[in-house]
Amino acid sequence: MKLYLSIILISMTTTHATASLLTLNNGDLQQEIQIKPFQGLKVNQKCIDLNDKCMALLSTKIKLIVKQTKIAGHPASKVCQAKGGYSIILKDNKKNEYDYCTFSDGSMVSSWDLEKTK
Amino acid sequence: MIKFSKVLFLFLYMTSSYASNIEYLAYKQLNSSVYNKVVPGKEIDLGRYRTQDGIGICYNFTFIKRLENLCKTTDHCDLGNDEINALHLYKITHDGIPLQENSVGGHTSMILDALKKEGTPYTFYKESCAPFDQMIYKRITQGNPNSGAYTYMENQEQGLIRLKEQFNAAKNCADCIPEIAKGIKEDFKNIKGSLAQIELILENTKGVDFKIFSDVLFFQLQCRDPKNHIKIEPFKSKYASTLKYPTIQSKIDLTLELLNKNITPELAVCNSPKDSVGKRTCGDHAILINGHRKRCNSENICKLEFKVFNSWGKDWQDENNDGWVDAENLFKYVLRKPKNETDTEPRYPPEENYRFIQWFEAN
Repeated sequence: MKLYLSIILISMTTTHATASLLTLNNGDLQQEIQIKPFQGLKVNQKCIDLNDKCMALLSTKIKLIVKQTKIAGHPASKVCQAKGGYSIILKDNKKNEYDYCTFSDGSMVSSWDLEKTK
Repeated sequence: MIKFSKVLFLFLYMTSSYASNIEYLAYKQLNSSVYNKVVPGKEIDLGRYRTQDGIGICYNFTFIKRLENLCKTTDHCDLGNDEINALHLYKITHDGIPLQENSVGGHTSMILDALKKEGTPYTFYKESCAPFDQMIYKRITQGNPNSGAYTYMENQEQGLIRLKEQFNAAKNCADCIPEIAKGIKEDFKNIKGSLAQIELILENTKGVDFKIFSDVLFFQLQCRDPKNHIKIEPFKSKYASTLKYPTIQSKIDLTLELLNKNITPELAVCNSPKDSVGKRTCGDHAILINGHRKRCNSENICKLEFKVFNSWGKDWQDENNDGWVDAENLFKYVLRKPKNETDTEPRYPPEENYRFIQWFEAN
């Protein structure tokens, strides 16, 4: 029982620790994006809602045939595009920038998380 | 035959993986469970972490951060609360807008040459005028999920390449302008102008080159007003080639010396040799070093760490120990020994393969 409670507690605190609110600055429109950990990846709520139909999640299953031979440009952005997404920049409240890979179903995943699955 | 193909595939896969990992080895961290005591050193504040995204060029970002640091530490310029506009620097450097296809990476001297052509003091638009993260947000409908990195490079550029085509098309076909304006608005959703305004710009392209056209398109009038520019007096740009500083220790000493003078050196990893068809594919990476500190073990044996300030966003920093890496390893892999020792004067494009440390100083 103690072990079970510990697992729940650790799981809850982990989720809380890594969930974050980022902003997409799309011209005049500012959109807040809630980022949460899901299946070991940082994704948006839309992806969690879509669950196993989430394109961002499904894209992690794609294994790229052509490997990148040099670190030219931005490796994670390239992987994002190669997996059928497009790269966007989100910001935190200190204006630090984050790379996210967006798919046509509105799901998003951290481009660097995606890069690890290439 | 099948066996040979398999062996060839395995060989290509292995060599490709090796090549792709060599730069990453530079970012090796010290084992924090062994070297568990951090002795603070110095860290220069370079502001927020930015990302070049898929379309930006690392050299522009390291250039901007170095210039901004020069502004903060000397009286060469006044940034106010703003930053140097990344898109504007691309426009200056690449005669219009950034096209990686044409620039194949970049080089500090290439940027400096372009700036000198513009005249002094160097003037830049403010980042708040056309934030990079907003301007590059565009519609991308093309792309093959199973294709590799280089196909992606082409696709990512589609909108920008198309813009140049649209500009030329509008010059030759007045009737096409409404349709062209619609296409531009779809590609670059965040251009401030309305559809009618874009049409008006397109109707007035007679005698105007692409550089001016893109200037008007991307930047509002108030941003182009000289009163609102960031002005920077000429400064010294210096470098140390790996030939002059051949040992890892000599590179480390130089970096420490610069950091202690509040200078953030750039490690230029670009400068690939010509490829098999004679085309230069200068496409590695450039990073900044903005800090040093030590990590010591229980026996008080200490190792030096440098802080890498990358242009790959905050997630990269967070997942890589905020950029703190083993100093020796960094120079071992990032500034590895040049293949050819005949070229000691790094200009763009470089004649031979080499690596170097570059920095800015006040005049």
